[in-house]
Amino acid sequence: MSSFRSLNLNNGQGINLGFITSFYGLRGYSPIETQRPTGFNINKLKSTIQDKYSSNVQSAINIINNTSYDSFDEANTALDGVADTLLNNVYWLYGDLYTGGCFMWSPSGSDTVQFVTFHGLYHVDDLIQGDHYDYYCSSLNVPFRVHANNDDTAPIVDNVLYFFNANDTGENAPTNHIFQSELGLRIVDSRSLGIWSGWDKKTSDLPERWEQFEGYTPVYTTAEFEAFYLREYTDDDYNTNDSHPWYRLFQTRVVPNLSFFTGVNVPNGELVGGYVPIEDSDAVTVPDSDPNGDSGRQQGGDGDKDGVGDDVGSGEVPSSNFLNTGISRIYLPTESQMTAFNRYIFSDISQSVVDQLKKMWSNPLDYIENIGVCRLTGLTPSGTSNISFGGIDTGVSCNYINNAFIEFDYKRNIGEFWGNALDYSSYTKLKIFIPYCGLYDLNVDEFMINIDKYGGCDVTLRYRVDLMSGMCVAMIRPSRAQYGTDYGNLNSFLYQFNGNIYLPLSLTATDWRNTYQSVLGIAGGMIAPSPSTAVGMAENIMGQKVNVQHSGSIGTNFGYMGIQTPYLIVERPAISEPKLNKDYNYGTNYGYPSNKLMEINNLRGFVKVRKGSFWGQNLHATDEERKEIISLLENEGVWMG
Amino acid sequence: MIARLFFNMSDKRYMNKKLQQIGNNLNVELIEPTSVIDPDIILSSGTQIMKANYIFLEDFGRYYYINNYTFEYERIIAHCHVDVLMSFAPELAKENVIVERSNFDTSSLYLNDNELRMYNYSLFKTMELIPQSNIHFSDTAEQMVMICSGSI
Repeated sequence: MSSFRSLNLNNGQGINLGFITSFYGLRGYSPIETQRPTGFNINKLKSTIQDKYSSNVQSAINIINNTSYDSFDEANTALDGVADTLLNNVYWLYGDLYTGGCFMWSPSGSDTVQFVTFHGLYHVDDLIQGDHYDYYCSSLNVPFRVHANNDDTAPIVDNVLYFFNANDTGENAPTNHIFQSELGLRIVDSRSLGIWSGWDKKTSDLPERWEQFEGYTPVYTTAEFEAFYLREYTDDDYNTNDSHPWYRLFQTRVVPNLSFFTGVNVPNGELVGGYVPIEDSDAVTVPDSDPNGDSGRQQGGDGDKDGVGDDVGSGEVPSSNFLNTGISRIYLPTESQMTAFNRYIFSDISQSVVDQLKKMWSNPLDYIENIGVCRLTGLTPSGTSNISFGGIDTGVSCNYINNAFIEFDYKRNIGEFWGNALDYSSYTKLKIFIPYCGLYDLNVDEFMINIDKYGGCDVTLRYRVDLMSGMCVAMIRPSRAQYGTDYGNLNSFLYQFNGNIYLPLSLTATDWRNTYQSVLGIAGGMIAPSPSTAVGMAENIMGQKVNVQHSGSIGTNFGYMGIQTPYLIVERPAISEPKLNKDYNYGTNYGYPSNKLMEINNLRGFVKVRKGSFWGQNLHATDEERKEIISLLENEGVWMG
Repeated sequence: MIARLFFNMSDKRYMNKKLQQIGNNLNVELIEPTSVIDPDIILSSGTQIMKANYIFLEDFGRYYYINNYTFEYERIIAHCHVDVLMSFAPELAKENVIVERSNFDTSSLYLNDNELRMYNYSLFKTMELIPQSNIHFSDTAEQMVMICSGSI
């Protein structure tokens, strides 16, 4: 059994809690911001752990073998069974267990303690390290560490792999308690998170912690879950003096204002979808950086605020009725048919016919308007007939097509990578290579949108080809929602480029000369992509980047030799953020941009106030004190506990 | 004047400081003329006093950082500066402000952030567009096309 497969969420129903090892109400808890993991390889993590701690695994197995379970697998299987039956009681507002997200769960039965179990068997010890408490949990599968400052400001709940050696006799030696893992999240009020861990199956040394849960009747709890990712920490990161490495597996954080819904009438206590706004509707937002979450968005002046536009389509493919007149016919010869035709032209045609034609025309080949080859597949002939020109039936059978214009699409869905402003111009750049047309810059703002919330953007490349000449128009359309509900969708063709998909073939040397002159003439007229202009803020490092031309003219026979697949090139900046640890993370300590109008009382963590927005109307302070307050709020920033 | 001495464990930027009271309430004198912002306070000597770095003056209704101690004969003089955040925390809490920077849940990551740092390298991703019909360009296709006039 995969030790990690057994990690499940449940609400604890059916599990005898036993004794709670620790509980801390973390008032003023501030969720942290980290990059949401992508592409996490659970197998790699598993093998890493097993390679590194194979001896410890065996030790733990030995310990577990001394419990009522006969084996670790049996214990794990038993716990799996409990967890799986309750998995559905967790409702994910977005994301999931393996990618991270925000989940909500309800208490079961008459429990006054709501909790989520991150399933596993643990080996637990608790220590006091300086000014904070550490709870060390080791496990065969999903270990974690609950870390809390002993004041009310602990900003982080880490779930960390920490393996003890069961024979360790050092100061951190475990007391050989065997725990089932339970990361308990307990909401005391809308801003406070209680956490506990462990289910002691062997000892009863910490029963008093239970009392701290009494008296609460939670309804719903919501927490944000930073799913699996592996990050190694040194002891310095956690200010510990032991020699064990840490592996943070995931973090959990409460979602302020979304965490606890008192007074919500939930029928039969069953879980309901979505989240329910209470009291302060502005505060009840999923903290997913919705760009419209700020209270002052796009207020503007007296404009009509009608942001819903029209879908500008590509129109209809032109009619090909003129082909029915017989003035021209488009043949799609195979190699053998073309060979037969050539034989007819240069060998079989009788001198008398030529002489007859020369009476009317200077050259019989003038009847052949165009001949070329392209790398299109999938053209469906309308029928087969003998090739004829100038009223002469050559007797050479050949496929023909009755449509002078064809149309075909390419498509790709794209979306944000960082989930922030860096996904847009002028940080992120977007180019498209269009076979036979060239490489062009696109305005990334027209194509970018969040995938999780808005489904991303479908980029459509539509070719419309004139089979008579090989000329093509390549049109590009973004299809996506727009942020906010008042602006409709963007679903219009915004770009048009032109090219020619034919490699011209010639029947005579004169034609070849004309062909190349034509090619060179066309090439000179082709639109080459122009270097992007660096536009942006002074701080915009991307705006200072060199933008080189990746392609010149890609028309006619150049395109024939080139890449046949259209593709996008996305160039993104790479963010550098300070490393997270127990005392510092960028979001809580330095903050992210905001533009919300809020009461200070509703803020937590680091806060910096926009210049001039603090009025201090309720303040009974001297003018000098006011100036100092304003300076702190506007320049240095303050920490709201 | 009644005063309470504390050991302040919090950074100055904390609105609500974490305090540990040292000893019982004291009667203190001020060196006059004094200032409500930067008062100098006369304390009686005591072993506990030097552990304090923070003081609350009841008559002023304000908390103060103890910036320095000086000694004069039998007296200890604490040179203080008002902690405007802690002193006016209840009133500040009711103020509405436009937030410039804040924690994750009250911020918008889509606002331009001049404070963000970026590496000087870039991340590249190429994505092929997928054909939506049978007709498309192909590396292996070779389709000849010939247009003739007078093809009656």
